[in-house]
Amino acid sequence: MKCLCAGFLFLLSLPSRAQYLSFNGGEYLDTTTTRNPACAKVPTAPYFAVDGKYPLSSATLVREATAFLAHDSRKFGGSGYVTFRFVIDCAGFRQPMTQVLQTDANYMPTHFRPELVNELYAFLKTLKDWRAATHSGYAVSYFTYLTFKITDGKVVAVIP
Amino acid sequence: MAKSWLLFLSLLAVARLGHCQQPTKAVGDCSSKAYQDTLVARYLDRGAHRVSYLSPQWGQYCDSLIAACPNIAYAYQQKAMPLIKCGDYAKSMPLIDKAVALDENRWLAYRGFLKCIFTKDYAGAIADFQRVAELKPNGREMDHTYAFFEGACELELGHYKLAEKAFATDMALQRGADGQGSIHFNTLWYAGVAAARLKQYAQAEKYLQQCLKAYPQHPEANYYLALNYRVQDQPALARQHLEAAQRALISGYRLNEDNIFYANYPEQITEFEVRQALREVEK
Repeated sequence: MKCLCAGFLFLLSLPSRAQYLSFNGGEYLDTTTTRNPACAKVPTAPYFAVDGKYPLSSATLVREATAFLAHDSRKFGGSGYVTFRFVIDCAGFRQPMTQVLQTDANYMPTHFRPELVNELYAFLKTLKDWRAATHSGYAVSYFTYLTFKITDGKVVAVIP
Repeated sequence: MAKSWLLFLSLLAVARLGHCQQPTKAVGDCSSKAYQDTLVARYLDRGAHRVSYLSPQWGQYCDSLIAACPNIAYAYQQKAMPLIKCGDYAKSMPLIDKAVALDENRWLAYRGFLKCIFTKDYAGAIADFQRVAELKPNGREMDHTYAFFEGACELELGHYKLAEKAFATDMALQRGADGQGSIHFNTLWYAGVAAARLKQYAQAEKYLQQCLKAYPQHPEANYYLALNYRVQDQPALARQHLEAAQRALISGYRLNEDNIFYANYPEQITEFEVRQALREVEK
């Protein structure tokens, strides 16, 4: 019994692994696809063709992300980039399917602590003002991304 | 929506799959500029550049060119470009590094630009621009002097004196030997922001007014001039310029840089920040 308890405590002490889902050669936090009937037949454009950057400045997003992370007392470390890629449907709703890319500050693939990635993902989910885009007068969905540049565990820039 | 994702994933597969054309083993001399030009015309001008750069074919044409002659820096840059616009730094930046390694003179400033605007690696960008300024003192990247980008990076790092110095160099280069060249409105805007951060409010106002003389709807110049007036306790003028910034943004005016569709420039604002500042002025 003592061994079991010790083993259990040991397992608890290990850093948790992210539940990344492998799909098409990438890592995903969510692979759910949803269907908005209104957007079923519209084309999907890249964000830059439809002015699809999130409508807040990078500085404001840094402040808001920092405030969001501050509600958690955990301290994070590491430097580099955490990027989430996803689609905004033609009605302006972020679709749940989300790919995550992570590099260190030298652009080499890495993994940050999953708790940090999950917190950033939770912050991403709070962003509700994505534009409903049109192209040549027609509604379109668009794919986009949001990158958090991390220095010593802190968000120092949000891209694009 | 599933279809959208399949399309999206196929777009992101740029440069990952096989080859559009069977890569031709070099039958010519890859060190010959003329031969390289022939291959660039074949694989890029008449290949990749005839399809969308988000099409998987784009990367395949680049791969074909690299397979034929692996020493053509342009092939790596072209392969990297759509990847960085989609936030894939792990794939794009090593390609840019390869382009720089092959042709530093041509691609070092471009890498500095990417670090400054796309990946916000300001220290890395400054190092690249300082190095390339030694190679090409009067060079330009994306219509600006290297000092312009260096100044923008120093501004973001909070090194305001260094930013001020860089913008002074940028202005001197734009004025030219005869001192007659005109100064780009975005240089004046950034110089104004740097002066304001140094609490040189009169100088900041002068630069920002000059910027607005060249481009009256410049949203950022109006916004930062408004902040400058607010600090100097001139709320009426602050409100006037915030309203001008808001009108400009709603009407579609931007700071007029080609790459703002892909990434925000340092200190770029949106209507959200203008609305916030208006609320504060009205308190």
